[in-house]
Amino acid sequence: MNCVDAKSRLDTASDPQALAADQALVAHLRDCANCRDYAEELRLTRLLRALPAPPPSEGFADRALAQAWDAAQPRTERSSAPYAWGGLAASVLLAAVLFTQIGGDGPLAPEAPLPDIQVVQMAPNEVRPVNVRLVSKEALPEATITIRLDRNLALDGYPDTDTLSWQTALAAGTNELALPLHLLGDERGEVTIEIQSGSSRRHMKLAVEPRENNLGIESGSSIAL
Amino acid sequence: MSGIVDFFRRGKRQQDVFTELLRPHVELMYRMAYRWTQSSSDAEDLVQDILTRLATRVDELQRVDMLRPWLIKILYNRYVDLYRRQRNGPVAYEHEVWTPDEDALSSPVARAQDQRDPLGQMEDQRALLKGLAQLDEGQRDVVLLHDVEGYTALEVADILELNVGTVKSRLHRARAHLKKFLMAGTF
Repeated sequence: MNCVDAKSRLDTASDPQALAADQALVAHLRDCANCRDYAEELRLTRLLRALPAPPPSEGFADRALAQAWDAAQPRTERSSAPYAWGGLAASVLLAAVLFTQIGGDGPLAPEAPLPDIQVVQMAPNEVRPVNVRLVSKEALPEATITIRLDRNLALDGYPDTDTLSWQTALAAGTNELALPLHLLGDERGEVTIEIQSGSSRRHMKLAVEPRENNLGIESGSSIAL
Repeated sequence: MSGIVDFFRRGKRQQDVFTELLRPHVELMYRMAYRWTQSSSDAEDLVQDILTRLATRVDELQRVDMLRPWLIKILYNRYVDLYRRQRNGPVAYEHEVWTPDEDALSSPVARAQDQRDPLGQMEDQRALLKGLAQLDEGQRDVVLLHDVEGYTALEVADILELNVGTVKSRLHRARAHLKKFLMAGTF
């Protein structure tokens, strides 16, 4: 038996006992250090490949995917206290945009003054739902919501759209709007959210600041976490 | 216009996409996480953590060409963050050392594998786990990815951010070390 035959025999055999009983192979290995090394390496890699791993708990994959999705979504709490921030999933950004009565006598000062601009942080190129909370003291059946984005931001699913406007009814109390914001690069972006009802109008600005990614991963297609 | 409704409808479709993209890889991720953590529960926690982070990045996931190694790369970085970097802190953690899960060798799954695969030899594997524990992290990472889970040298290089030559030389040195742990015999 030569080296080619010996390696072929080693590669194709699945039963070590049959190999040990192959006298021609055993004789060749006794004399050939290279083939002996080859056989040992093959044995090693086969043993490593067969190292057992216990399976995950039953239903783990489906359960983990469902829990992951739920944890990443904005909570749809309907609190009567518009300034409450607690209880939100840590992975979800919340920007509270407070509007008081915007019809009738005009806007009233909010109970707790908000900064002129709300700031959230996202990784460059990240898409993330930002939950915007609109609070109105009375129902507004024909409110118009307008979203304006600067060049550094987009709404996921609405490419090349920098202004999105629609008419909707706002309920008295808290209304929530999930904006799937996409920070297009590594520069700060700004979105303006405007509510109009009749002759009254309020607007709020939301700044998105780029932050360091927290997993340190970049893919070949510039995907960052 | 039904803008708000559209957003919520869109969210539901995104969940389907998220599930379809990742479902085929969850158990592979779990297996690799188990190789690193040597604990089923830690492996599940690690995978859950990654999935939660990915749930807000569905569109980005859709643009990844080779999702499997990409996911393993994320998993590896997160594992390093959560386990190995703890060592730099002032407090000792239980995960500082890679401790082989020898119980897995005698589990029903392992016995079933032995029946299917006559090359599976529990004592040799027990010895190999001890050998793996003695390897330095860099060599062990390469063996676990390449020899245990079957990733190619190129994939391992990408996952660990090494060049292929380094992967191969680590593999060579690690195998030389591990061979010493095998019982006498050629096959």
